[in-house]
Amino acid sequence: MPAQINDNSTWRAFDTAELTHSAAHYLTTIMHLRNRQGYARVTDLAEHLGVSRGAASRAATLLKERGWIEEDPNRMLLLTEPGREVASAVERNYLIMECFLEDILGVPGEVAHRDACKLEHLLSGQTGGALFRLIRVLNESPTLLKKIQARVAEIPDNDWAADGAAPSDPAMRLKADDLETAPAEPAQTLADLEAGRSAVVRRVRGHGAVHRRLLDMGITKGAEVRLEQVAPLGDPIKIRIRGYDLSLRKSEARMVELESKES
Amino acid sequence: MSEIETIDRSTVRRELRVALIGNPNSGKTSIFNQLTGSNQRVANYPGVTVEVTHGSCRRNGVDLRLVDLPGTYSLTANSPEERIARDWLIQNKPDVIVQVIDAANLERSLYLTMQLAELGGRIVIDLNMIDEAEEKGIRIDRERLGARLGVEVVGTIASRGEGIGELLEAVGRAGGAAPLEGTSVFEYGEDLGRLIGKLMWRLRLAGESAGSLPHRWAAIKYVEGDAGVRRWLAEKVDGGREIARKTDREIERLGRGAGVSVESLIADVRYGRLAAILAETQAGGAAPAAPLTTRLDALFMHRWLGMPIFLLVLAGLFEFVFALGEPLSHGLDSLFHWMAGAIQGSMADGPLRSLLVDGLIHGVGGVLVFLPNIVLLFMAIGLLERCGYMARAAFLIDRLMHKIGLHGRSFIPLVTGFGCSVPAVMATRTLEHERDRLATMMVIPLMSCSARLPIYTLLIAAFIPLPWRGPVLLTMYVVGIVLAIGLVKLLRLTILAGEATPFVMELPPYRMPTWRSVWQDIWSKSALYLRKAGTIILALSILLWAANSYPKKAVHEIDASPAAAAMTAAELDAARHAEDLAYSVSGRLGRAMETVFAPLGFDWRVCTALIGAVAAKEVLVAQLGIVSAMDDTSGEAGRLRRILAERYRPLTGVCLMLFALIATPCLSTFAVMRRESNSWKWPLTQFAGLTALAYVLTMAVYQVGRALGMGV
Repeated sequence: MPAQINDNSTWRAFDTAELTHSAAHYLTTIMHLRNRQGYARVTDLAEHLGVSRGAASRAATLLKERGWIEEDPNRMLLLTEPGREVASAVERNYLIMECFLEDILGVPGEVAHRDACKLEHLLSGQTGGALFRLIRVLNESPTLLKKIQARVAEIPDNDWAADGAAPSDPAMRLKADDLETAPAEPAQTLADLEAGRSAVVRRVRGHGAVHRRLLDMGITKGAEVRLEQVAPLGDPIKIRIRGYDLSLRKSEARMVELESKES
Repeated sequence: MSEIETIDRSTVRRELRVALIGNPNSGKTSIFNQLTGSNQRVANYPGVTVEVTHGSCRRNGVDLRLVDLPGTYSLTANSPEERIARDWLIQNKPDVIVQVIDAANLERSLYLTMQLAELGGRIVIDLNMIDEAEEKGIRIDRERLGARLGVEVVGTIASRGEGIGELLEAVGRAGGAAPLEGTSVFEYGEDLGRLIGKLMWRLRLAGESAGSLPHRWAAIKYVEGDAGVRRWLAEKVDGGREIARKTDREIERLGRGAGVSVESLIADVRYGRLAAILAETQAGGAAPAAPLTTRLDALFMHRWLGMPIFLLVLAGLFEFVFALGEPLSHGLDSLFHWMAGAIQGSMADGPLRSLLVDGLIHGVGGVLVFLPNIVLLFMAIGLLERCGYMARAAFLIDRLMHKIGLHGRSFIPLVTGFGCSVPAVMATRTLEHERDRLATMMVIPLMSCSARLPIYTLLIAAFIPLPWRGPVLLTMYVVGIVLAIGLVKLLRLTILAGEATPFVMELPPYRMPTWRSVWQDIWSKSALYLRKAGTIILALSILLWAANSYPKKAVHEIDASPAAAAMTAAELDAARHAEDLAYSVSGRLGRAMETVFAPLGFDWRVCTALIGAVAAKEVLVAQLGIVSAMDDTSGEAGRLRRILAERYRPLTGVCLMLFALIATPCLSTFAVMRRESNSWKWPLTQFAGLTALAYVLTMAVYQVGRALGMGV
């Protein structure tokens, strides 16, 4: 699975292709049928989705034109490699989205399901990946999650409606655009650097005292760092930055994202 | 004082309040020592262990009142030290701020300068260790740098006392100059600038209530997420909550648009500006690592050799402090014994003699006996710290320490604890963050100190069969360590909870320490110990002596008993002594404690001995000897062993060892804890907590042991 998330070209194909709601639905259904019973015919598709055979056939033709499915001599529908990628990406998005809405935001299950269905084919891989990581972090620290949820519950509904910074805010759209151009793989961090290698800092993730301390010590965008040594026990590490030596734990180094190009 | 008369008083002030600020390892304290000599006094701040040193000197008829603030990298308070430094500047508004900068580290240091300039005031920059920087090929155009920043820049080499005169001149000149306005020295670009500007205006519009902080500085700090300023805005400023709400929304929007936190945008802008300033004023670029430092680090932090070398250094330190300190302590002890003997010989028996010999001399001896260890330990730590190895030691062991919730720097104090808790608690000074320091201090008494050893050896010899003696002794040490680890975890979850302190720490280049600075360390630590902890130890010692001696028994039962006739004079004396102790406050207390300690298997004799152990752990042995009517405990360990083995069961022996390990840190530790934590809360918590833990654990062991029929 992770290898597929990391495959850049797949995502580009997925992002640029116009994937309609129904096409996504057909694709995932074919995948499910094949997974469950080993084959999928147009008849099975129509039966499963509760549509006419004609409608299912037309949809299959469209998918064939996109190069996502093929039909073998026995009239069995097969997912092509790109088709499989798209289907599993949609599937993943759906699951992540539903988990996020229901488990984290506390949206009722029915609403979460409906919204996740609506969003599954629109969500970019980056956002899906980011959500995935966030949910994982929150699930790992239930007290934090409870705290967040309690705080969220305190804020009255009308606060959101009254605020101009709702989803149509241009700043948010800008952010979304930024993400589209960002590389899909998780960025390399200072903790991943090999001893003796240099790199340039892209940004420091996170918030709070450690984040600020890293900034204060001169770990900022564009600064060149070299990983000098790793402690004999494997942690912490010694780096050289701005003409002096600094030590930090790997957990702290993971907050420092590097530019992908190493020198 | 004719000097003063020749100076025009209207332009020159007679007194200037000067604050020294700078990054850790910038040589700030050396400069301070050069300026003030021994004319120093340490000030504590309530609730924190951080200290600020004050000093003074006189120059051209002007009194300079200097203060050496804790080292800091930034004016955003990330730790208590940084908060103290910053709050001191804001509250006291010194006439002149001197920032001491390691000239080889100009870039990072100027980051602090920018924040000082934003705060406003009269600033002098002291480029220290210019010789070292020049060796690295760094040349700084001081005039240009000064012009660019709008401050005066001087250069010094503190270790050799060079440039101190010029620094003083510059401070004098700055004192008469107009202060920096703290306004638009540095611009933050369009978006950030608008955000900061808007908040600045909102603060300005809030009126009087927002007057306690410079607006622009407060605005920048707020946007940087400074907790102190955020609290200030919410609590002190009228309508502050509303301002905060609006600003937070803008901060969030800006951050979202940029894809990074606004704090890092600010840091980016600052370092960007600095790059421009550096390009104009510094030749040589970013400093290369000193070849010596690189080579030494390759050795000391080597994958295979690093740890063995570290253990060797540690063993060396331990040997140096305790093996070398032992004969010295012993010598002091003999000296006091000799004094006691002399007084005993020349004075008639009576309460005054008893007070002098057993109370005062014993008490003073009890204070001074730690001094050799403290002097040696701080000599060793001072050398290691100043040559740069201490930071490497922390680097090597941090992974282990971090796992149990401590910091790499906790290790050396903890290991020192196996020698003696008193210097160990003092050694926690090397920990930068208060929470780490307190957590380490709290568990140090669980490291079996050398005074526990006589207890262990006596009881193990009395109760444990030969093949098991070694393992049991080892177990005692291990139990202490395991309990310490558990206790740290507990502390971290309760009273010392909070975000783990970062290990983002500078590894300073290796340097030859100057003896002068090491002596300064030793002197100040020893003086502090004697003055602050020594007095408490002395007072408590006398109190304990009184508890052991009063009330006096007028007639001894043994004299009337027929058994007395068969006893030697020494035996008779010992028996009287035992009666005395039983009759004293301690003895009565021991009897009163008997009911409480019965579930632990301790009778009143053991309880009385435990009261003695509060003075010092090894007193437990002596006190056991006295209550057992031993005439001379030192030469007759074998007899005491037999008496104990006859009177008690092995289970009681084990329980007593366990209790002596965990319970009641000795009063010297208590006194040092009080002094180092700067509060009564921590030593009292430690005393009560450890005693309660000891009680519960020992009771559990005794009851389970009895139920299983082990050692009874």
